[in-house]
Amino acid sequence: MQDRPTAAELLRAAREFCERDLLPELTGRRQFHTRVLMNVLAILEREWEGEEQALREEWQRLDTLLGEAEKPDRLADAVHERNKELAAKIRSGELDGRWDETLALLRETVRQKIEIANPRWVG
Amino acid sequence: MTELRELLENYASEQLGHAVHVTSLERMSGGASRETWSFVVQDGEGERRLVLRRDPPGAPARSNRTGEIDLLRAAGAAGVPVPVVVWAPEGDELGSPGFVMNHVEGETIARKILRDEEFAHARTVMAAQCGEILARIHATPTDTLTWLQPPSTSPADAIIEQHTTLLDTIGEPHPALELALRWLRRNPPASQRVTLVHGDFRNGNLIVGPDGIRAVIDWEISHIGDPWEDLAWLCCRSWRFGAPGDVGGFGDREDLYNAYEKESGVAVDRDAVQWWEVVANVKWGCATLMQTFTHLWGHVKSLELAAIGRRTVETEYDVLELIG
Repeated sequence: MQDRPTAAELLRAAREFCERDLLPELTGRRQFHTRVLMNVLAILEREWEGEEQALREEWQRLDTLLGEAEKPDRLADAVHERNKELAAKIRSGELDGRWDETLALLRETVRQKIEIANPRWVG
Repeated sequence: MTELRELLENYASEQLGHAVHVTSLERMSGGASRETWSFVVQDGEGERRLVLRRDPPGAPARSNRTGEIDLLRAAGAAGVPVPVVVWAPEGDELGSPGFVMNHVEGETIARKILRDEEFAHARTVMAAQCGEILARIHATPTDTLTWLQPPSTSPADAIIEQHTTLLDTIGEPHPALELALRWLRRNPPASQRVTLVHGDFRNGNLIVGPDGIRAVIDWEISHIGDPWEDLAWLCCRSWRFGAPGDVGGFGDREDLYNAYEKESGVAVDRDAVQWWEVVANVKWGCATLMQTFTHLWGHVKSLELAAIGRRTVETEYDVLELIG
């Protein structure tokens, strides 16, 4: 386990440095790119804390829709593989008969993603 | 940048037949996939403001430069406001494939067009102007634009295939986009037309003055397709930049549709536009994927391209709202 500051705290410090020390000194494209950088750091800060929990919830949803599967060691890889399975089954039409359930699952997954990537997009 | 300035100076001097200076060379902001530079050519007779559009030097996919030039000329002849192409070098005289146009005075940055007092009047007339301009784009004769091929299947089928293939090329699973494509397949639109389509008609590609739209730019993904695609793209939420109007953040659909109908003589099929709006979200979603993978595959290293991959989810969110 690492010492303080945590990864999230370091990301926050980096973002605040950009806002306080860099942004006022820059104009034009450099300023635009610094804002892009700040946004990236904010995304990572949000993502860092919640990732494990979000993956576990997504695994549960996929189990419910596609049937239970054996879970390999790394959760992120496991969820990734199941999303490939989900994508293929949607494309083939195999899930046409479970349209509303599929839509509901995807709404939840997308909601989790967007809370990290851009929470202001919702509502 | 000094290198580009020198290239421009050499090229301009050659074209004008006498030595000139190039000053005020400035990269214009926005636009991740191509470069736009503004510059001034100075000689004994005075000053001229020009604009260079070119591929990023070193990018693997070369844009269809001559096609875009012919297109600008054809659209201009059909009454569409466009910049005039001034120089079109054959090779890499300007560092990479590109061309030079006259500078059209005005603003392209959506944030300013949608919020500044300067454009308050423009915002009230732009939706109708878009309708009229789009009608003219769709009426532009394409017989001289021989490189533009209509799709071998219907535009609707072609666009579904195109994005299915794109998702396969990316290789990452995006089940929300797959669901949207599945919806598109299962709910084909009733009406279809085949015309010239701009493909990226939105804020960012419109030069706007206090009076409204002065020029339509960025024709690099124009193609032969279904014109409802252009109206739907303009109404896509991603292009409202947080402003309230359905049409590009600035206007109402009825203003857009009425002006379009008046100029074209064709009634707007609202269901078809809705179908193409689902397409618009899939299209922009796939574009964000392609842009981010251009960075991830090592072709063009850029923080902006890397960051845009986290915007795909916005299109997934919007598309699920549309089909749900």
